Amino acid sequence: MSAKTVVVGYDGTDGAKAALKEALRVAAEIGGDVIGVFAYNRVITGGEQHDLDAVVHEHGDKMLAEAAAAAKTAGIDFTAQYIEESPASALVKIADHHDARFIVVGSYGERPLKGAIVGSTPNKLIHLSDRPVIVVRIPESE
Amino acid sequence: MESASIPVPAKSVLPEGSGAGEKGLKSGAIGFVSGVVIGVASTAPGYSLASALGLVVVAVGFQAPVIMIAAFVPMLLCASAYYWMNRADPDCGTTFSWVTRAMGPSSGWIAGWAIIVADVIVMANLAQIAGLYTFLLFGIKNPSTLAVTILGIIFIMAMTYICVIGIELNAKTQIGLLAAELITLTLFAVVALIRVYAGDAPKTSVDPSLSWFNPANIGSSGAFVSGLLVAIFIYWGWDTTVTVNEETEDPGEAPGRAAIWATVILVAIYVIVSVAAISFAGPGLLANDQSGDVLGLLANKVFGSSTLGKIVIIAVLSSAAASCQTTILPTARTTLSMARAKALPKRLGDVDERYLTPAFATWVMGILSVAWYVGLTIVSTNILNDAIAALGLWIAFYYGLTAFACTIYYRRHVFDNVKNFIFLGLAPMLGGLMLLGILIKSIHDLAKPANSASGESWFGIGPPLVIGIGFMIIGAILMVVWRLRGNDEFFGRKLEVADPALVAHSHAGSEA
Repeated sequence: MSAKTVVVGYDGTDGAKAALKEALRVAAEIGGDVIGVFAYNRVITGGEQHDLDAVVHEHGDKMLAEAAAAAKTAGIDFTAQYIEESPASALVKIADHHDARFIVVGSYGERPLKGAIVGSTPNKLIHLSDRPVIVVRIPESE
Repeated sequence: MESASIPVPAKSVLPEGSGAGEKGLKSGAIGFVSGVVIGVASTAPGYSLASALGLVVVAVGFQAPVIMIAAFVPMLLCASAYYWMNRADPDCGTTFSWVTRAMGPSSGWIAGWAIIVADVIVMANLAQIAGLYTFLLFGIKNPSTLAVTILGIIFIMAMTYICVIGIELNAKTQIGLLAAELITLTLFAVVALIRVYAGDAPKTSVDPSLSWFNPANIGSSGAFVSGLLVAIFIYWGWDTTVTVNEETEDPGEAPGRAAIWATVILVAIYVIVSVAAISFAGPGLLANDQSGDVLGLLANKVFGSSTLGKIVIIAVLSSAAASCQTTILPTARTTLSMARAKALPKRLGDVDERYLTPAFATWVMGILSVAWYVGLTIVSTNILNDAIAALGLWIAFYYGLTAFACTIYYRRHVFDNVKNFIFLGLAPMLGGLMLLGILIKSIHDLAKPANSASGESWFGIGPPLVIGIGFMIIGAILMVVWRLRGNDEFFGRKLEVADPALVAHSHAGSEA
């Protein structure tokens, strides 16, 4: 069943919700399971990390619980993974570890310049991942 | 829902020095080199020299180099307190959290407030330097106050935005930028000294003399202390090396070694540059600097070319940007920590859903900084200098408070053995007392307007003291208001003492 795993980046934002929806649909079609990944890239230059990490971890767990509930409703097996690493490399690492079929991420549909400034995860993923990457745009209506 | 425990593959453990954030795992993130880089970059030698060198020379003239060394002593002694309190509680709010534990919620609240105030004050200075040096970079001398202020505001907002979206330069870029800064400053000093000895320097130049290192040549204790107050500011920040302790590969050794090396580099660069600058230009010219761009103007003269001079300007600018990041980030995190402890409104503890940074607190700090910067520009004729003296007061206050908190927190272990006595008792107490002494003497001296850098009089006393006391009164009022609104969860907190295990395992370094 491992080759039928779909890894999805999920942080609770609109892009992530769209990605999760797609991941659940793909998993249903191929009869696979979903691993939801909340990745948190810590900026250590600022020091004083402890409380921030704790707040983010609480937030991450909450978001992953949300995703788990959505998966349950859809009847898909779901595993949550919280990881302190930059999203793109975390997704690749976890996908490799589980020999996943696809990696699914949401996109904000930002222009390239802003994407370059804030660090576009889909963009990095395409360069890092050996596996197929599915990028889902936020629906226009939202 | 259970978090699955997927083991992270062993190959992901990164080589030393590559760890700043990009792939940072919970531990093993920072090596020795990164530790040193973070310590030195947080202190921002280029920016610190640009804003403080002239002021130190005003205070003590030829004795500036010895002040650079003397100011370091209390900071080093306090570092011991930072190291040990960080072992006890590697908390987000460092000083805030530590002082709260050791000395109670009211003291802790004021300590947290001190960090916020220091951040807001320094932003005005950073913005001013960034504005001035940007104009210098494009060869524009004496830009209007309005133009500098507008650039300064843009700089603050841009830096705030960068912190909100959580961009961090990767470790290699940081090392590269810092190396460039240090090489530039060293080159500046070497060329200046060569030209002095070759008789090729301006008429005001003076050959360096060992007497510059004799503190006895400083005219008065007032001059000595006002020099120290400014010089404390230039060392502000290197304790970051100690507080990122938790992150280092070998928590028992790396932060200590990295802190020592960061320090050696800082002291060396400050001494070399101050000797070279005084020698090349003479103290009169440096002391006359009222606008804060002395290093940039001097660089053009030293290199005899504005193109080469520009590398110094760029070094100062990149240093100011780095300093901005290492100022805004920890302050926003302290605010978050305070909000989480119910010491500030809950909203300040929120993290942004997308960027996972304390975005609201960061914007609040940015906006307060702009308001402060604009206000100060309007009322003061010499923003830079007044702000730095005021900043020195607050830094001395909260470093000192942290030092005392350490000894109080570990009081049951101070007399256990010689090592504990030195590092938990003697060093922090001595450091704290020195800073307290500087604080008291400065307050006394600054009460006379003539002793402040600008010589202005606000309400009959010097501007830096008005700023210092003003923020203290505001802080006290805010705290009382917050306390009256309940918040017993924070204000009802009991004093704590050190867990004996912290001291017993002082060599193990393995609990992280």
